[in-house]
Amino acid sequence: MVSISAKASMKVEKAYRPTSPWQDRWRQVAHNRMAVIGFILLGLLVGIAIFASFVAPFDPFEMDLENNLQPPSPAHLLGTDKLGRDVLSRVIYGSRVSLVVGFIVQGIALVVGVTLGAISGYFGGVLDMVIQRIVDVVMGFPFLILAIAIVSLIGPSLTNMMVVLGGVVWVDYARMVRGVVLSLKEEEYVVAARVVGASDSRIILRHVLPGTLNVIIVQATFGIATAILAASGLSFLGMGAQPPTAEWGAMLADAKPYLRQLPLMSIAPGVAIMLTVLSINFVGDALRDAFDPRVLKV
Amino acid sequence: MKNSLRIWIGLLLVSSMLLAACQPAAQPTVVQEPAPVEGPAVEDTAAVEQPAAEEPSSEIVKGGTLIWHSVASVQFDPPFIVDGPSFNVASQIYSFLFRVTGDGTAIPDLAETWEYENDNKSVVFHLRKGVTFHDGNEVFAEGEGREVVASDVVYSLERYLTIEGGQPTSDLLANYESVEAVDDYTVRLNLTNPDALLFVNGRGLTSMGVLPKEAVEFYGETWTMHPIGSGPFELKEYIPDESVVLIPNEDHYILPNIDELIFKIIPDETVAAVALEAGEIHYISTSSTTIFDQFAANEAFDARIGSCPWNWYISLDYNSPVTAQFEVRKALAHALDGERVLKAVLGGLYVGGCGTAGPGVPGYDAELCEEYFSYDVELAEKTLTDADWAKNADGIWEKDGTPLAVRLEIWNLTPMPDIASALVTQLKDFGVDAELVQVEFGTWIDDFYGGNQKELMLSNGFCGDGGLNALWGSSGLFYTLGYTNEEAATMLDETNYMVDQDVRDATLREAQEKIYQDYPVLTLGFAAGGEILNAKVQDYQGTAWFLNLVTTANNVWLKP
Repeated sequence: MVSISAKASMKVEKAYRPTSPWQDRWRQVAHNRMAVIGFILLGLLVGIAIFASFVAPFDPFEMDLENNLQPPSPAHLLGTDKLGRDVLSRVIYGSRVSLVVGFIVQGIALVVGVTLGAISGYFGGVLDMVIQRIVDVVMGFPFLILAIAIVSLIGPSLTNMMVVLGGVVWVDYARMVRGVVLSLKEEEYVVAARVVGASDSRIILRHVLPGTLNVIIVQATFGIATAILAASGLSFLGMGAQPPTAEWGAMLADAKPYLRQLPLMSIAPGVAIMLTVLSINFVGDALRDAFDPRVLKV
Repeated sequence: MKNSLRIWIGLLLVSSMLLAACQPAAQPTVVQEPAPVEGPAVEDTAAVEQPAAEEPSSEIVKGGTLIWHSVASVQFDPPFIVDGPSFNVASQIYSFLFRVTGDGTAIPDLAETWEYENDNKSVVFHLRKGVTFHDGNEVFAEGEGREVVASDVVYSLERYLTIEGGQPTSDLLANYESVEAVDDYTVRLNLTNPDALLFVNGRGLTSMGVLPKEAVEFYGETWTMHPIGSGPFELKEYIPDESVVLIPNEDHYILPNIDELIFKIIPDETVAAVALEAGEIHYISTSSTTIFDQFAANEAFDARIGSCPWNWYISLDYNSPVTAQFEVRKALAHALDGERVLKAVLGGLYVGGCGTAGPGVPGYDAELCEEYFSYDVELAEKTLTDADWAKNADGIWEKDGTPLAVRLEIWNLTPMPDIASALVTQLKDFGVDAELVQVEFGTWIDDFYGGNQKELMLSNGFCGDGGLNALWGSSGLFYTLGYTNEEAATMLDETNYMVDQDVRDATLREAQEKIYQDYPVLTLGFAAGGEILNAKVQDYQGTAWFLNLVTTANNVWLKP
C-alpha cells in the first residue's frame, strides 16, 4: 500500500514530468482553436483530394454537351459548365491539382532556398555576396509578374508553372535561413563541432539546419497558401493548368462569361480557394506563434 | 476576440456569396437562324453605275465619338494585313478602288465607275477627281494633301503584289498580268484570265489600299507606324494594346458624321461585353452565344447575326511524323464530333456544314460532312487498326512503340478554350495522348506562319466566296505550309476565271472533295458571328470584310 505522501509525491511528479520543446509547441498549437479548425479543414481537403474518385459523383472530364450550363439540380448539385461537366466534381478534383501545386512549389523553393541560404550564411564572403545579390534581384520583381513573364517565354503548362513559381519564391527561404544560420554558426556547439574536425557539410546538416526548422516550417506553411493562390491566378490567365484540367483558377476563368447566369460556377471554385488558403493560414498563424522564438509568449 | 472577429468576417463573406448564388438563372432567348450567304454575281461588261444615294434623313446628328471594339493590336500596311481587326482600321484610313458591302455588293470608292474589256480580262477603273491624301503630317503639310491619281493606284497594286512578306490575295496574284495608268484618272488592270473573285470580300482587289509613294519612301521601315491614306479617317494616335484613335479626313468626298473614331483594344470578349453594357464602347462582335443572347434581350442594343459564317477547322502539320500519316488524319476526323461541340459552345450562332465553302457560298457541299467527317468512332478505330496501330496498356494508340500523341494549339480568346477543351477530351476518350496549348493570338500567328506549328492547330476564319482558292489554290495558304494537291489546285485556279456560276460551283465542289479526301484539315463546321451595337449607332450596315462606316451607301452617326 502506498502512503498518502507517496501518492501526493507521484501526482506532483506526473504534473511536472519534463517535456521536450517540440512537445510544448505542439501542445500550444493544439490548444489554439483557429489552428484546430484549420487542421480539420485542411485534413478534409486533403482527404477529398486523395479520395476524389470516390467522393466526386462524376468524372471531371465527362461531357454532356446537350445539358450544358444547367443550374443546380439533384443530379448536379452545383450545376454544369459550358461543356456539360459536373461543376462539383471538377471542384473536388481541382483540390488535387491545387494541393499538389502548393506542395511541389514549396518543395522546390525549400530545397533551393534552404540550400543556398545555408551556404550563404555559413560560408559568407564572396559566396554570400553573390547569392544575396541574386536574391536581391529576384526580390526586386513582383513575383507574380516575374512568373507570368517567364511562363510566357517557356510556354504555359502546369509543370512549367510549378517550376517557375518554385524558382521565384525560393528567395524567401534563402533570406530567412541565411539570417538564422548567421547566428547559429557562432553557437558553442557549432564551434565545438568545427574544433573536433567535423566537415562543413556535416556541421551544416547535423548542427545548423536543425536550428532553422522553426522558421522553415512556418514559411513553408504560409508558402503553400501563397503558391496555391499564385497558381490559381496564373491558371486564370491561361498560363498554368491547361484545359480540360480541373483547376480552380482555370474554372474561375471558364465561369467568367456566365457570372450572371450561373454564379455558382465561379463561386464554387472561389470558395474552395478561399477555404483552402484560410485553413492553411490558420495553421500557419498557430505554428508561427508556437515556433517563432521572436513571438512573445505570454 | 481577434480570432472571433476573423470567423465572423469569414462567415459574412461566404453567406453573402451564397445569397448571390440564389438568384434565378436567366432564360436564354431564341437566336434566329442566319440567312444563307449568296455569292456575288460577276460583273458584266457594262459600266457600274453609282447606286442612287438615299435622301439624307433630317434626323442625322453630327458629332460624337464612336468607340469600336478591337480584339488585338493592328497592322497598318495593307500587303501585310491578314486579320479582321487590322482591316477594320485600314478600311477607315485608306481609299480602295471600291468597297464591298455586307451582302456582297461592290460600291464605288476611289473609282466611281468601272467596266470590263477584252473578254473580261481587263478592268478599267475611272477614278474620282479631287480625292487627296491626308494632310497635316510630315509628308503633306496642312492643306497640301496631294490628289490621288492613277499612278498611285499602279504603285500601290504593284507594291501589294510584290513586296516581300506580303499576303496578297491568291486569285489576283495568280491572274495578274499588268496594271497601267491610262491617264491621271484611269487605271487599266490586265489579267491573264478573267477573275471571278476580283470584287469578292476578302479576295481580289478588296485588300489593296491606295498609298502615297512618297510617304512610304519617306518613312521607310517605320511606314507601318505612320499610315497615310485618303480614306474618310486619318490616324491621330496609336497606342499598341490600348487604342487606335482616328479623326475625320476633312477633305474626304464624304465627310464623316462623327467627330472621332476610336478602336479600343480589349482582347477579352467578356470584358468587352461589360464595356459595351457600361457604355464605354459602342460595338462588339462576338462568337459567344451567351453574350449575344444577353444583349439580344436588351432594347438598348441592336444584336444581329453576322452575314458571313466562317469555318472552324483544325489544321494538321504535314511535317509532323504523326499527322503526316493519312490513317491518323482520317481517324482523327472521325473521332471528333465537331458538330456537337460547336452546337454546345456556339448555340444559335452555329450553322452547320463542312469544308471550306460554307452554306450559301459557291462550292458548298452538303454531303461532305457525312462522307468524310461523320462522327464514327468505330470507323476511326478500324482505320488505325488496319494500319497496325494498337492500344497500349494505358489505352493510348501506339505503333512501333510510338504513342499517338498530339498537341493542339489555340489562341486564348473565347470561345477557343471551350471548343478545344471539348475536342481534347474527345481525343483522349478515343485514345490519343492529346495536350492543349494556349498561347496569345500573336504567338499563334507566329507559330502558324513561321514554321513552328504543333501537330494540330485550331483556327477559324474565312467566310464567303473565294475561301477555297485562298486556302487551297496553287498560291493558297496551305501550299505555303507544305500541303500539295496539284490536281485540286489547278482546278481551283481555273475557277478563278469561270464566269459561268454553275460550272464554277460544280468545279469548286469537285476540287474541294479532292482536297478533303486527303484530310489535310479537320473541318468542324461553320458559325456566324454576332454583331452587337449600342442602339445609338445609326446607319451601320454590317461587316463582312470591309468595316464600312463612311461610304457612298452609308455614313454612321450617333443618336444623342
